[in-house]
Amino acid sequence: MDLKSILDHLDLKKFACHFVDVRIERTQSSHFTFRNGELVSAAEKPVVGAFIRVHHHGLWFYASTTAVTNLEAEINKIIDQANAGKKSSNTYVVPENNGIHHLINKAADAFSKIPLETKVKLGESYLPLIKKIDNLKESGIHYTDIYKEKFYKSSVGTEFSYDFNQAGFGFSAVLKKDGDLVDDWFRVYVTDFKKLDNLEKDILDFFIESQRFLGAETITPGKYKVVLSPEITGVFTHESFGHKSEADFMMGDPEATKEWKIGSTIGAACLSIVDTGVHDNTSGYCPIDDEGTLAKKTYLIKDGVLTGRLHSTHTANVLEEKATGNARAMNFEFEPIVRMTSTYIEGGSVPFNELLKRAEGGIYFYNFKHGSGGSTFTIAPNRAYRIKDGKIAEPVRVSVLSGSVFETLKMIEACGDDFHLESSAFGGCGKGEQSPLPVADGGPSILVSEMQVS
Amino acid sequence: MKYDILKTTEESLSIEVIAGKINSSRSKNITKKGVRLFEENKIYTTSFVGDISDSDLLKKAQGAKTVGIPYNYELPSFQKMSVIDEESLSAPLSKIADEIEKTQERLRAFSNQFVFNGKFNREIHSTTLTNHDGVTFEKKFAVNEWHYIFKKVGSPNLMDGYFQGRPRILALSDLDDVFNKNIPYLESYNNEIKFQNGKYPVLLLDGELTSKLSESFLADKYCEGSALYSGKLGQKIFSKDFSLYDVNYSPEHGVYRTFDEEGVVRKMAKLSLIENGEMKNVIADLRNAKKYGVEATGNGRRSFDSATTMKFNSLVVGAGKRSTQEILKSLDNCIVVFMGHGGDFTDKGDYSTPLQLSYLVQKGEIIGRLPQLTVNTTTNDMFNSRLIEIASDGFQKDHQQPSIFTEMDVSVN
Repeated sequence: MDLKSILDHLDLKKFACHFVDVRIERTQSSHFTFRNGELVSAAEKPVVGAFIRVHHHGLWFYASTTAVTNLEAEINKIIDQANAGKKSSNTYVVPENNGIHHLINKAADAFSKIPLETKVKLGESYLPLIKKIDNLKESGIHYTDIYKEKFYKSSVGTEFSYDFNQAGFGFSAVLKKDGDLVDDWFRVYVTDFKKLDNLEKDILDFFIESQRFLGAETITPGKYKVVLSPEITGVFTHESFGHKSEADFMMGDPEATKEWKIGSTIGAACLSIVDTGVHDNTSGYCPIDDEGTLAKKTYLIKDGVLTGRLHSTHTANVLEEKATGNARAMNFEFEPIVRMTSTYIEGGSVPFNELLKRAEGGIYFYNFKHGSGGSTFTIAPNRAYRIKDGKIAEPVRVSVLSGSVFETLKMIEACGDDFHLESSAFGGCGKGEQSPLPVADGGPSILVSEMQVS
Repeated sequence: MKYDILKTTEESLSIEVIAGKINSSRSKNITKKGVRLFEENKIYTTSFVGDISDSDLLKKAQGAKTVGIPYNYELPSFQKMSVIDEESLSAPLSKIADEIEKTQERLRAFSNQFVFNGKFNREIHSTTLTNHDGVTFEKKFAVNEWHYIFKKVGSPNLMDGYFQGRPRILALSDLDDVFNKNIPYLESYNNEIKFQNGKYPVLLLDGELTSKLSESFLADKYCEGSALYSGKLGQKIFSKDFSLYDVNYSPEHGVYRTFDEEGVVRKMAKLSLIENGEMKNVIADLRNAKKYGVEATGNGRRSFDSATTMKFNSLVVGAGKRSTQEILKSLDNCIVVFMGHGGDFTDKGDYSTPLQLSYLVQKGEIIGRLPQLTVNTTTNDMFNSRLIEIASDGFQKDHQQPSIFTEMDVSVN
């Protein structure tokens, strides 16, 4: 089905409403899972659907549909629904015509072109590793990929299309020794299938390190000086400040812009935080958002000073600021809401060893299971180590790392020189009912003078 | 040719409220279908989103047999079964809008202090599972869900708290119950009190205390020895006051799972996992039941496009004798937790979570809101030596889980 042609033939200017836009998505995804050496799941999933937004009589009306060849009737149905309700004045200022941008360029390398049998054979090639990992009690070999094409058109004339292509491979294991359990997960992210070959040594080395956690002690809860790896810095940035930068949380609060005044110092001088969808071949790639706003580099914090926030056209309207290209929907069943893309702390200049030396008696966090943001941020780490004599020492078990966002941003003492942007094809960001949305996050290793560790 | 077709239809109306005013409404009516072909001990799956006839879907599946999932278990014999909750279906989708007005009336007194943003959703779920003999399992019911996130005006937080309702039918008494339970706490929000670190009874209304424990009831994890309580079936592992069940039918709480997505029917609505502290059963889908020599328990869960995995229908702790309010009135001190997001267990079962919103209650009286705290305990302790009491009911009428009062180490962040 030629989805672009469907939109080309749809004249959105003719509809009697304040604003209308249509997004059509074609998604082709696949996955497989081996559990304890047996293939238990393998499938390809094709989906085509459209999301329609109409703004009329002061309200938004949305509909999702799989009848993509019948969009005109769907739009008329929504307008009838709007006309039947209360009629308020339209306060939404329609966006400018942002032009026509057709950016589909990944079709040749789409994971959807690789046969499922080839993908499953890749998984089979890693089965012999199950016998090479000491103390293994349970194993999983996981693969997921997605190739998505988006087509968009609005009544003000903005049009775009782009495609998104990513895959992830994982090897999970539960180790057990003397009744003690360790659950760990090796993961890689790729945009080129060939890069999933020859991972045997990486996987085995990963689980050699996991063995050290068998018998590890549980941390005594308290406040500790910490060093976060780039991966943990990324999730900290996303959960602690990224979510707070999403302007929709300020809606309806007359005091919000005073409390969140642009120009206020809110972090350490070494701290700069950025969000941008421009990084291709990452899980945060979003060159143009689901309202047709082009991606740009948005500094949320620059040298410790609040410099920006993330917007849809609606929140930008209300707060009288500029849209930033952050209106994103999880798929064709949902409306775009303010979301992050790639969010990171900019790299610094301090060598990693120097960060460790300055964190004597503290804890080093390497990777994580999940994180959350809200009034306090939380990170549930997987691997944590004590720091002794300026070096990473013995492993330690930690349930959760947490803190107040604003206090912690001021406690960042140094940023390392080892910047890394982390992508993941497994999971993503959750907000309300829309989860998971692909995002990337990262930064350098950072030294924080105090965090709650328990 | 042996096959089954799983069809789900979700028809919904979702209304978003920002600062007390309707901002948007979203309609959805989407059908999703998945077919599984069973040929030569392999399962081939194909899915489709949108309208497609069964015969066209089967043709599509025949043409797409690339990778088959091996299986060696007997397919269940289907029996016609229909579970339709007419009472929940009786109102039109638009009825959910009436709830908004009622909630706004209750929140008006707080509108100068707090911003209330919410969502109201009414969905009609329809599922059929049909096999090659044309025998169909069918269920149809409506779900109503609404929530408000509240934020103190000028607060730098994403949210300062929330409350929600999940009524089976849209009755005023259910809505009143949510407000009657939550409003007294909202009234005490501005009274932040000091706190002394120590050991306290805790009632966690927001958190998954059973999540680590529950892994031990999955047949594969239990039998492979990779779960915390592997090898403990038939042994007493917790207090005699602690029981745990997998419940598959409870319309009042939106649970209508008398058959699973493999077509397995479990006659008992309540499967004992722990009875008076003793570990009794594990759950299994058909694959794992065959592999590990245990009984298939009707816990094979899949969506139209996914493979079957073992999942609980609804994991519910056995109820005690006294109500939540009676227990609160009997305790000198109790920390009632409305937000405890982001916590987790270590692989050893150590548990910790920050508490973003909690209150100190003494003899049933709300003393005030507590500062940001962290609690610590372990899976072993929370249902054993540190278990205080389990209530006969949940904090709200629509909470299926009875309130669990357990002692934890509590410290100010």
